[in-house]
Amino acid sequence: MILPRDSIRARLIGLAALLTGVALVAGYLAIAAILEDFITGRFDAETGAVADALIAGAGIDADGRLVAGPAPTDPRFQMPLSGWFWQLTQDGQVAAKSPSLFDNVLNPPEADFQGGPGLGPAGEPLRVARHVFTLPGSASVLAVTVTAPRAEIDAAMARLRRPLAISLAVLGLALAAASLLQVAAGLRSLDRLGRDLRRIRAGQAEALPLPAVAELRPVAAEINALLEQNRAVLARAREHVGNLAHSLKTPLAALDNALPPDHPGHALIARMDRQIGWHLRRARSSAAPRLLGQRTPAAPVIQDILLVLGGPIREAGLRVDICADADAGFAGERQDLEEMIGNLVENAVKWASSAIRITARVDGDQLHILIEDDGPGMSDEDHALALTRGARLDEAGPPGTGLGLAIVADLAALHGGALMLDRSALGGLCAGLRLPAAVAPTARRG
Amino acid sequence: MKCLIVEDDPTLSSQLAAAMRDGGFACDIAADGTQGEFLGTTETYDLAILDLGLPGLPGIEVLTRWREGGVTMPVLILTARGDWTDKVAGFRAGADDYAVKPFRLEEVVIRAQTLVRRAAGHAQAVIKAGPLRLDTQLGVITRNGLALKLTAFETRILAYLIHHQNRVVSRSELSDHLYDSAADRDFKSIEVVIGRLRRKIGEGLIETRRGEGYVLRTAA
Repeated sequence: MILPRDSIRARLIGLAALLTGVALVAGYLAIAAILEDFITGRFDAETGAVADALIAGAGIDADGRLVAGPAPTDPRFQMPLSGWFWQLTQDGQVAAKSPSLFDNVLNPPEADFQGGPGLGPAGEPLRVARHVFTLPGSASVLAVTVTAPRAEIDAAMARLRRPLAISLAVLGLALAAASLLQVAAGLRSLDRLGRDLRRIRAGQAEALPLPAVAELRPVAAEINALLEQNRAVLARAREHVGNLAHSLKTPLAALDNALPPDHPGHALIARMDRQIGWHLRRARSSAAPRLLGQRTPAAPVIQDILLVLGGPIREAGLRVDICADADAGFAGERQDLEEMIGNLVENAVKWASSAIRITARVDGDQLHILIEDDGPGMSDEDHALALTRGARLDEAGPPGTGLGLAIVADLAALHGGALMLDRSALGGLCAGLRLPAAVAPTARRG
Repeated sequence: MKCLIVEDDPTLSSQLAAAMRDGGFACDIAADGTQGEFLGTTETYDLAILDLGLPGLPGIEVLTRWREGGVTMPVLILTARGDWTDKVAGFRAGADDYAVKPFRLEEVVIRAQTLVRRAAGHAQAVIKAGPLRLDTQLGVITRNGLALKLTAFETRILAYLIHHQNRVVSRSELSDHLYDSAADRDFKSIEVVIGRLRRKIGEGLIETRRGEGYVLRTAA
């Protein structure tokens, strides 16, 4: 899974990885330092014990010279250049030394210290213990120096570092897994919120369910309030539009009928009527596609349109075949679907000679509605003309010449769909609507 | 024929009433929804023309209440918005036809006549009654192909009888459908007009049933 850099998940995981990494490295360094102290401490205790034994065994002979007691029995002091050395000095002169030194001498610093760095005869690093002491019966400054090879300390450390690093790496992996789980669990509610929002966009839900986590509840409540407000604003706008239409068109009707039949005012009135209609429709439906959470089943709308057109259909003796999938739904408002299907079916009723066929089916995320008739149909040029006239809908044009088709094309385009005109197998016009589909409520769970 | 016009614009409603009277209807006008609902439920009409955008009670509500109250007269709705939502709502509430504003008066009259004819059970525009023919759209009555010279009131009576031929039509029913509510009802003048009609269309077609009314008899 590749996450974008600006995602919350990437940020949380990145931050967790950085902090855990820093903590683990610091922990490793601290533990390694403690272990090193412990191990060097053990070596220092060993060299210290040898030095104490040498001091205890040392004595002054009759000539006032330093005489070493019994040499340490540890065989490492016998092995040449083993790094395990001891040396007794009297006033800076070597009085006795371990066989492992051969003919070399140690040159420790003057100071007296228990555990410190030093260099061996071959320049190898050593761990040095040195004590300056005096013995009764002698005024000389006596010193004992015992060393252990630094390499042995390092080897012991190396043996410890590996398992330490592995354990910390395992701990790091466990922490990483824990933080991934934590992030996933923490963001699950956010993911669910996103899914619920997508369902609203797809027209499967009208409002967000209240999230289980307290932090997201105000967000969901705010979104729901926005959706509700959106609907209310649109409903109010619709009402205004309806009132405006009524207050303009009623006097227009009176004016039209008051003029003598051949008065040029009739053409002006018809033009005003078209302009009012165009602008009101525009104002009404341009808001609709932005309204979320809408689902309109196609079949009941088709039934309603046929109810309105029942008179003309019966009078013309037309047969109407409907083939609508039960789950065919439009992700938009009922009014807009009614307007599109209504105009197309009305057109088909006007031209059909005996039969009309209405088909509605869902294909993926698209709803296809076909309205066909067996009338005279249109030529290919007229198909194009009828659709392009949509751009000039507010201008003058003889009524009833494909204006309805242009209205439908306009509405379909507002919803991101299209109206396509073609020849029907029935012989007449086939008007095809392609619109965004809404998934049926029963298919949601799948 | 008597029709109820429910329209709040006085100019338009008087234009409609004039056109409907020319088309052979007696007309009552209601200027708001409440009055329209009252008239529709209390008076007898052959047809109602109902504007959907009414002050007081919305047109859809008026229509719904009429239908719920058992009023069966054909209703033609007038819509200003002209969108399908209005039409669907109107038809669901029980409308029979619609006209979108601005409309031509003649068109509304023809639709009104068609609705009345269909409501009386006649599918064709021309209704036959024995030797008589009523062209519902032109409002012309012919006898054996020759146009009868009738006054407007005579045409109204005869058209009503032709719509309801072979059925006894009482005088009060006849007057209900001939006069608007404001007019003085006068059974005597109906009787006089029936007498004149008998002379114009030939004896034997309109029978008087004493105490019951009149019947236009065309079937054997």
